[in-house]
Amino acid sequence: MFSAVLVLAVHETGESFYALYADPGAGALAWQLLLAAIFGGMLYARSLLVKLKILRSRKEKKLDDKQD
Amino acid sequence: MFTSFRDPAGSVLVTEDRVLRSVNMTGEANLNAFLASRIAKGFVESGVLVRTTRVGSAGPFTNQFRPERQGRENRVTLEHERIPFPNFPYEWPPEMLFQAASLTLDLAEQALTEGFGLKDATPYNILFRGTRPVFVDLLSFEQRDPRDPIWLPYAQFQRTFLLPLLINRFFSVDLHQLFLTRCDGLNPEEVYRLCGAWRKLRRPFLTLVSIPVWLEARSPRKSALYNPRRLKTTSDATHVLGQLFRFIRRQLKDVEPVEHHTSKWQDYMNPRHDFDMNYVWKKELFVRQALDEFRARRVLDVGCNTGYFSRSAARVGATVVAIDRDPAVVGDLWREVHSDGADILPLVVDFARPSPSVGWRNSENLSFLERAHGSFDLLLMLAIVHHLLVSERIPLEEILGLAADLTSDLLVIEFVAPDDPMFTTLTRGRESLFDKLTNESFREACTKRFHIIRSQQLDPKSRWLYLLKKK
Repeated sequence: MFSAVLVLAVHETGESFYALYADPGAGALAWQLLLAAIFGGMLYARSLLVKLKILRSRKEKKLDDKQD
Repeated sequence: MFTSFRDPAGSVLVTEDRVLRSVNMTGEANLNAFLASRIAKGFVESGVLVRTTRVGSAGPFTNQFRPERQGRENRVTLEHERIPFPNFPYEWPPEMLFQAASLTLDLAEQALTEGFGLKDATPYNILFRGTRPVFVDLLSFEQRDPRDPIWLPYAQFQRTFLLPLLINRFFSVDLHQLFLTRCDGLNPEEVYRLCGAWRKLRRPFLTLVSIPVWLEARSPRKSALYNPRRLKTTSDATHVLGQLFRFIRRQLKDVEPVEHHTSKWQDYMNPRHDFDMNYVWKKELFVRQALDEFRARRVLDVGCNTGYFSRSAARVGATVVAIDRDPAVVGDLWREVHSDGADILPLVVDFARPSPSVGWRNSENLSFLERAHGSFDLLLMLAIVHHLLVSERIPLEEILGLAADLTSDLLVIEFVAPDDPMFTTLTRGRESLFDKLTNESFREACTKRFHIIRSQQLDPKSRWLYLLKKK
């Protein structure tokens, strides 16, 4: 379940890290991935909200045009 | 001469007067790109990144670099400016470690704007020039995948900055002891074991310690955890990374050292203390006259306490290294001189047990005495000798011998006679051990290694100041 969340969080590329030589940790990296998923999710939700608002305003405009 | 070689992209060689860096093909492309960038120039101009020039070769030192890794021969040789008196995290008060952490985050975040990132985040990438941190590891900067939303050195930043600051603030653990034995800092599990159930759930322990420990326990051993990640667009990755840095900054703010009044030595120079200000002023005048007369430019203040005399020396243009074994007073001094810009480097060093050489073959970080030897033309040893004699049980000849080793010219030293109230407080019934110690015997001991230029009796009458010149 936990790995599924991580995989969903951000896309893997399957390539190895370039010149990484310091230990990236396990818990700290997993925590960062989880945070990235939360921040990414918030960004996605925000952009969805903006799209919905635009759609709604377009619909309202069309309705107004028809009434005119 | 010592070397640094852990980075696979190159190694560093520090000789008596030069700092040379050999870069191999692994690091060459990143280095060229970074040196050509606007942010690199901006960092150097603002003094936060070490000045660097390309040199044709390391000349006579070419063969002194650590053996290169197979297939990774030297491609570029660089020379860095030399930071006066190299210093290490185990010699910093918590305030300096916090400042180094802030600089690391600043550089990592600003570098993102031109597509660079830091590949490691350790306090050993930083040296202090006076009270200002300077990032010295040029090879830490590498080009990033612009769609990568993860800051990989976070775990190292957590181990070497956040957790040491956390246990210093909440458990009063001395950073000096920690970094001398733990070069790579602390693991969250180690701090987790120190916490009670309630603390594990509270800020800042929850996000800094508990959640990483719980997640580590739930991470499958051979997971895809370490595979690189990419978001759909660069702007998404930039946004996520920006939020992550904001989160890390909040974590850092939560472990910022607070001003404590935990040490009796913090009030030592307070006029309400046992001695009056006449004593301090006479000393200051004596020190000032010595500095004015001999134009000493590099001063080591041993047992600096709140740095009253370090400031006197800095005011007349000297570059001062001020050492004391008490992190609280060194932290106070750092706070003061950081805000007013005095040329003082405050370090937590116990003169009786100075920092040893550490690292691989004991040659990665030189000992304090190796670095100090010949680096100063005036040594201040004010109200310190009686502590070394009584509390540390070091013979007077040894103390004067070490002072003569460290100074290239002058020594200002205060003699405190055994009948002084502070001396008797320290001896606690062992006065007979010092019954042969008089001002005359002290003067005689000094003349073996120094010429006495002048001396002055202070108030209280049991204290004398000497200005000595090395023979």
